[in-house]
Amino acid sequence: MKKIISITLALLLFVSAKSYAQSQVDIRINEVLPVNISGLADENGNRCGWVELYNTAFGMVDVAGFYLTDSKDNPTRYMIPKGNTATVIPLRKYLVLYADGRPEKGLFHMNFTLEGVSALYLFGSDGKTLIDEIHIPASLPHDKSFGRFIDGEGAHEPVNWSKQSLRKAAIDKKIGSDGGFVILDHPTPGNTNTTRIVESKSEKMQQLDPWGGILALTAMGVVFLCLVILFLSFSQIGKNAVRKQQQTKVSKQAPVKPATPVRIKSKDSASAIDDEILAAIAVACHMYQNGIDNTVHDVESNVLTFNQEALRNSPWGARSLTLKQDPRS
Amino acid sequence: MILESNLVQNLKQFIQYTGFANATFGHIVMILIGLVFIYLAIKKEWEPLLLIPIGFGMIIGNIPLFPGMQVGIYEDGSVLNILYQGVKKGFYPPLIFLGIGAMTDFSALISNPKLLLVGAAAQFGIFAAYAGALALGFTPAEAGAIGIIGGADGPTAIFLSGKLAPDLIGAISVSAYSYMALVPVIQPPVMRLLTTKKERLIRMKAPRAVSQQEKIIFPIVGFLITAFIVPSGIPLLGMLFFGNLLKESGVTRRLAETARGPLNDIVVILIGITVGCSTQADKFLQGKSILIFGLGAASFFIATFAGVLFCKIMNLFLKEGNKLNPLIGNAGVSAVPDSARVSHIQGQKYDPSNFLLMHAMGPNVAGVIGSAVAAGILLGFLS
Repeated sequence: MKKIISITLALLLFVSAKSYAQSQVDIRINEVLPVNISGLADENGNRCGWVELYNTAFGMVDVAGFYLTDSKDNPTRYMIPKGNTATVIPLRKYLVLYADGRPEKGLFHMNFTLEGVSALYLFGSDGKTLIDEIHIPASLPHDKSFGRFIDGEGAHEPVNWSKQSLRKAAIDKKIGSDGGFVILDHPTPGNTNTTRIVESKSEKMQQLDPWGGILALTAMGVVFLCLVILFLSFSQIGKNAVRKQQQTKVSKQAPVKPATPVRIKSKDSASAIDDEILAAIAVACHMYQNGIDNTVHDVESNVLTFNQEALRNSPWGARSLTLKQDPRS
Repeated sequence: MILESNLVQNLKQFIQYTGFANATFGHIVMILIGLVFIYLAIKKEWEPLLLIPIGFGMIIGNIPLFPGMQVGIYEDGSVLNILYQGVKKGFYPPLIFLGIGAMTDFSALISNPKLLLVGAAAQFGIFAAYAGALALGFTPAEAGAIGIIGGADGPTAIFLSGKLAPDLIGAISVSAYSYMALVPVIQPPVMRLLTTKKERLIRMKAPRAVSQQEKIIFPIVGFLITAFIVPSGIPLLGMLFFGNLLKESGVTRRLAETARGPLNDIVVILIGITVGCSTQADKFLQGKSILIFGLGAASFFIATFAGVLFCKIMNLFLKEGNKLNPLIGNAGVSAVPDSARVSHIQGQKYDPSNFLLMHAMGPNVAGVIGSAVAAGILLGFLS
């Protein structure tokens, strides 16, 4: 048993060492626009390149202390400033950073520009963990942005094995050779890259299954699957339990010479029960039936049990219950 | 003269703020429905723990108000609105499931696991009502929320309708609780219709004693299996099985007692009163509500039908001595423990020495698991 616990703990330590805080790995570089001539203007009315980060998580993420760089050799080139609540990206929302090389202009002004930059890297707050990267095509025209076709989806480096589920693998397979990145005709800073109309699941279902038959069959199938698996599991667990009970009975029934003679006064040895047990049953039944103390009957299935009287609801801090008895007293 | 004029003005203004000045026919109808609920709860003892809070909530929610005084349940920031968030955001139902888990003895199910399948079959009512609602012109999300009435599980109905069709939450929850209260009226005719006298006399094998170890394993394994298959059901399933583990572990007696006692009572009060309040006449008295009540009734009948019929089908494959009394099939619709009690009472009518209650508790608690799983599936497909 100790061995199993040790192995489990070791595995947990191994997993935790490899995984990052969920919030960090959920951020993606969603869209970049290196040369901005007629697009988004900053708070001073100036135009410059920009980077859009997207929070793929379903919870808020603070990107303060994250690093953006154009070179893996210099991972801490620009740090997103700390100490401002504006760096918190709400769930499934965006944050735009201005790449004008003028950090003194404000909170979200980077200390380098994107002109001529071929790749952009996002590092976590430790300055070592690569969260995401984007490779910008050299042929990208002015005022055109490059980003993910579907927000947050597509190639993501490095692939974190602890997040590489079957579902994620299936999505990755569908991503084309472009890795899910495209040149976007209409830049969308601070907004979704997906310009097509998104249908809700309910709307899709209305089209796919207008009479509800497919959903009914699928859902009933899943309900049955769940309960059939439970049925099979507990049939097996039950069989094992019964077998174990029988084995215990057999071992108890094995002829063992008692160390001290057992006091049995009943004449019928086959149904011999200790007098004290009989008395306890009689008293308990009397108390239960007459409502003297209903707690004597432990409400369990098909089993009438009698417990020894124990201290209930004892105060935690009661010294008399926590201190050992003084052997001298 | 000026004083008199001001006095009259103030009185006029005061009258405008009273319920009498703002009352509509709808308000009066809803107050009467609330009074009927209270009457049924006290006089007939039909689900009094739910019908009294809901009935009185209906009266509270339908006192005509001058809008903008921040007292109505639909006015942001009002006390009732804050309490209503538990229904709207769906955090009352999992807390009730915690209490249900902490008070439910799954032994009947553990000792005879095939009863789980009866609980699964009874969920057919949910999906029949879903198809019916679609045919009547509801959207799939609304139809899913309406369908869950067939699960005969009030908290699940509130949880799902809060997510899929918040506008229908009042009608759906009142419908679900009303039919749960009417289980002793709805189910027996279906049970009698589908069974022969010989079948009603079947005596089931006494369930074996279940060890504490099995009882501890049940919530853990049960949760892992169901949650991995339907993760969207985690809030309900997680709390249900967690509550049961508190009960069965034997070392968290105080927590189990709190979960099934004071905590459960508090949430039942809050959920009942706020659901009742949410049935404001202008939102509740619509053609849709009547359709929802009709679909709810149909789903209860179909669920009972499916449960009883499934027992009969299972009997075709079971050996003599292991056969099920089909009268326990109705219990698969959840409504713990009322539907199990209906099985027992019906069984005793034909054989006073046949005790079906323990056997019926198996499909009954399986129905709770089944309806939570079904809610998770609907949420996954439609939200």
